[in-house]
Amino acid sequence: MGIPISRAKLGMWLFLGTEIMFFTAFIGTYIVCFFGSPGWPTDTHQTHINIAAGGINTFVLILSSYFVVVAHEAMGLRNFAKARKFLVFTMALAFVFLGIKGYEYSGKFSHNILPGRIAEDDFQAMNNVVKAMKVAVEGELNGLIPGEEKIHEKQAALALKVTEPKAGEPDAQEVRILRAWQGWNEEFNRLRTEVSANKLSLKEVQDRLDTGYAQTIILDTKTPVLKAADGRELTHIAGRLDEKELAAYKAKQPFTVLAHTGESVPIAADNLVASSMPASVIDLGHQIHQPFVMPYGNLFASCYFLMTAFHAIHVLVGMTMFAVLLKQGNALNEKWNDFMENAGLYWHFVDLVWIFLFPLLYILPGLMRAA
Amino acid sequence: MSHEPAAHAAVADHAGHDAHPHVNYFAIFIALCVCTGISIVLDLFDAKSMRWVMVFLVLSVAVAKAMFVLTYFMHLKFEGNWKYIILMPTTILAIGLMVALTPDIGLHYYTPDVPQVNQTAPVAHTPDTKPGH
Repeated sequence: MGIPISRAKLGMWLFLGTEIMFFTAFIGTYIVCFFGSPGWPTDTHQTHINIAAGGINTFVLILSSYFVVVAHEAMGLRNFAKARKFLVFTMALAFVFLGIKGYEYSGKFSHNILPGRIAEDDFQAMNNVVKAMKVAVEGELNGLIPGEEKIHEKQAALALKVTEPKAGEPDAQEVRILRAWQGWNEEFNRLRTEVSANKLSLKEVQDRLDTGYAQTIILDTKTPVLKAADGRELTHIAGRLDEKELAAYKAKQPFTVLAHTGESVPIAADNLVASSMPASVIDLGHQIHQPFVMPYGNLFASCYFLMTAFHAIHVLVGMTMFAVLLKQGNALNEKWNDFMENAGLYWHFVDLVWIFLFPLLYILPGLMRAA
Repeated sequence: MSHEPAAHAAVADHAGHDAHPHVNYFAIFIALCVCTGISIVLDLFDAKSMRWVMVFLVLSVAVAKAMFVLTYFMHLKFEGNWKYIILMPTTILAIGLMVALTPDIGLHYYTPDVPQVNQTAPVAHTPDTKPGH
C-alpha cells in the first residue's frame, strides 16, 4: 500500500502544490486588481514592457525544460556524460533568462518605474523632476569636490573658492566651472521653490528641461546692471538668451539678457568681466529624464515586480539545485536519479509559471484595455 | 546497510521508468515552440473588436503549453491517481482566492473612489505668476 513513487518525489510534488498556490495568489490578485482598477497603463513604451524580451525568455525556458528532461532521460539510461552535458546547457539557458530579465529590470529602474515612485498626476511628475534634478546637482558637486563631506559643507567650500572676479583678470577655468555649478544650483532652487508653490504647469517644467536650461547664462559684469528687490546693485545675473542674443553675445556685440527677475537687461560686451567668455551656458537639463504621468502606474509596477521578482527567485533556487548536481562532476551516478528528477520537476514548475506570466503581463493588458 | 534499500529503490524506479511508453520529448518541445509562436502571432493582431475572442485564444494557448509540460515533461500522464489528490486542493484554492476577492475589488457595483479619478469637474490650473514673458 502506498503511492508507488519515492518519498522525495512525493515531497517535491506536495511542495509544488503549495508553490502553485503561492503563485496563483499573486497572479489571482493581479487579475482581480486589473479588473477592479478603473484604469491600467497599457502603453508598452511608457511601461517599458518589452514583448520581444518576454517572448525570447519564454522560448529560453521552454528549451531549458526540454534539456532538463533529456538530461533526466540520459541518467535513467546511465549515460551520465550526456546528462552532465545537458545540465550545463540548462544552466546556461537559466543564466540567459536572468540576463534578459536583468536587462528588462534595468530599463525600468533607470526610468524610475518602481512602486511608489511613479507620478500619477502633473504635480507628482513635477516633484519627480525636482527630485531628479537634486540628484543631478548634488552629483555634479560631488564630482567637482570629491570627498566625504556633506553637501552643504561642499557648497560652502565651493563658495569660498569662487571669489569675486577682479576687473580685467580672466577667470580661471576652474572658477568658471564652479560658477557654472552655482548657476545650476540657483536654477534648481528656483525650480524647487516654484514647483512647491504650485506656480508652474507640467508643460512649463518640460520646456525648461528641453530648452530653458540650455539657454540659461550666468554673467558677471564690471559695473552693476541690475537692482535686486532689496535695492542691492548686482554685477551678477542669471537669465536667458534666445538665439539672436546668444549669437550677439558670442560675437562680442551688445546683447540683451532676460533675467530671471523678469527684466530685460542690456549688456555691453565690454562690461563683461574678462575678455574671453566669462560665463557659462548651462545645459544639464538633458541629463534628466522627461517627466511622464502614468495613472495607475504604481499599482501596475507593484503587481509586475511582485510576480516577476518571485519568479526570478525561484529560477535562482532551481539553478542552485542544478549546481549541486553539476558539482558532483564525474561522480554523478544513479544514486542521484531522484535528485535529478526532482530538480527537473521544480524547473518545469518554474517554466509553467512563466508560461502563464508571459501572456498575463505582456500580451493581455494591451488587448484588454483599448488605448 | 541503509544503502541497500536506497539502491533497490533506485533499481525499482528504473524498472518503473522503463515500464512506461517512450516519450518523444523533442516532438513535445516542437509543439511548445509552435504554441509560443501562435501566441506571439496573436499578439500582433490588432483585433480590438474581437477582444474577448483574442483573450480566450491567448489563454487557451497558455493552458495548452501548460498541459504539454505537465503531462509529458513532468510525467503526470504516467502517474497514478495521486496526482489528482495533490493538485485538486491546489486548484480549488487558486480559483477560490479569485472568487473570494472579486466582490471586494474586482466588481464595480459601487463608484470606485480612487485618487486618480476626479469625480467633480477638473479645475483649470492657472499659475499665480509667470516669470519672464
